[in-house]
Amino acid sequence: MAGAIRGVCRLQPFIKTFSLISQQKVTAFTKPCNYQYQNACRSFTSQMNKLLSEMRFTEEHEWVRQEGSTPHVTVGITDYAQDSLGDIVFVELPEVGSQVVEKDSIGAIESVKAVSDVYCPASGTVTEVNTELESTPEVVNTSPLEDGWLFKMELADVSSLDTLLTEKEYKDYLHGLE
Amino acid sequence: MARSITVLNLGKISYRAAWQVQRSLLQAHRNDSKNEKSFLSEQHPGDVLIICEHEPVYTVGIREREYSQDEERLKALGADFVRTDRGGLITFHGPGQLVGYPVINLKNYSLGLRKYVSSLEKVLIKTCEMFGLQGKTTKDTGVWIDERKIAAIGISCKRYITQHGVSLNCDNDLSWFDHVIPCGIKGKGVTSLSQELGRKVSLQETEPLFLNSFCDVFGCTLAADEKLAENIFLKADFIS
Repeated sequence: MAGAIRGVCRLQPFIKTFSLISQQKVTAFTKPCNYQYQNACRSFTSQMNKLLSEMRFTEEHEWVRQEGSTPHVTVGITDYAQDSLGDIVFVELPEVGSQVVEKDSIGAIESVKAVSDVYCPASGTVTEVNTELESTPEVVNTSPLEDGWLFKMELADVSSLDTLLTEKEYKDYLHGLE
Repeated sequence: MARSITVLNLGKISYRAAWQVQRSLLQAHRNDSKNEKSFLSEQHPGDVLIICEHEPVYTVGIREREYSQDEERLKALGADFVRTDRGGLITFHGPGQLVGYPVINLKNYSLGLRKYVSSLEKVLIKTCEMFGLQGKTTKDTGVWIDERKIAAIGISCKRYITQHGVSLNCDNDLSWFDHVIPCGIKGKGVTSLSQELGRKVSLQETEPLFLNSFCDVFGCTLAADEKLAENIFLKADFIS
C-alpha cells in the first residue's frame, strides 16, 4: 500500500513541470505520464504479489518469510492485522537470544488503548529485533510486510514452516472471519 | 439472533482478584490442551461482562517503564499500584466508580480491536446521554464532557478474547487523579456523573443504564448466571 503512494509521488513533480510549460504540452504528455504511472503500479503490485507468495501465515495474522532455504526467517504482522488494530503506538519485542516456543506469546503491540499479543509462529531462537520500532512504531501500520518487520529467528526445525498457512489458505481464513 | 452475554457482578473486589477472574475466564474460553484449565473451564462460561468496584488502585499499561518512579509515591497515598498488560497509560480506580470488564470473543461480534474500542466508547457515550449529558470522543481516547474526562478505556486481547475494559466516574473522589496525569494526557481535567449533574449519582443508579447501553451497541442480550457467580466466590482462593 505504501509503495503505491510512493509510485504516485514520484510522478507528481514530472506532471507539474509539464503543466507549467503549457496546457497543450500537458495533454501531449498525458499518455506517457499515464503509462509510467501504470508501470509504477504494475511493478508495485507484482512486487507485493511476489512478497506474499513467498510468505507463510498464522491464524493470529503473523507472516513468516524464509531466507532462501535456510532456517532463518523474518516475522511480522499482516496488513489485515495492522488495519484491525488501528494506530500503533508501542511494540514490545522478544529479547535477542531467547529460546521461543511455537504459539507462545512473545511480544505485544499496543494500538490506541488496546494491546494485542504477538505469537511465536514456530519454535527457535530470536536472532534480531527491529529496533526502529522503538522510536517509530507507526511503521508497522505503513509498511507491515517490509519495513515494519518485528523480529528474525532461527527455526529449530525448518519443516515447521509447512504447518503454517499458505497465502491462499490465509486469504480463505480471512474470508471466513467476515 | 442476538448473542447472549453473562453479566457477572462481583461487587466491591480488589483489582488483582478481578483480574484473576478475567484470566480464569480467558483460560476457560481457550480449548487448546496446552493451556492449564481454569477452575471455570467445566462450566463453559462463554462471553462474560464483569461489573465491579475497586478499592483505591492506580494501574498502568504495558508502557510501565514511564512510571518506574511513581509506585512508592502513589502507594504512600494509601492506594494499590498494579502493572497490567492492557493498553493505555496510568489511571485510577476507586469506590464510586463503575468498572466494566467484558471478557468476550471478538470473533462472535466480527470486531477488530479498533472497532471494539470504538464500541466501548459508544457504550459510555450512550450511558452519559441517559443522564442528559453530551459525551464525546476526541483524538485522546476515552469519553469526555467538553474538556473533562468522565470515562477511561484500556484493554488487551489474547487470541480474540478481550481482557480489562472501561471505568466510568459516578460519585468517586476525583482528588485521587490529582497525583497523576490520567492516561498521560496533560492539561485536561477529570469529572464524574455526580460532578456534572450537581447531585449524587451512585454506581447502583448507573449500572442498569450502562448495561442497557452495552446491549444496544453490541446487539446482545445480558443475563445473570447465579451458578457462575457462586462458583467464583466459593472456589476462587484469590478472593478474600
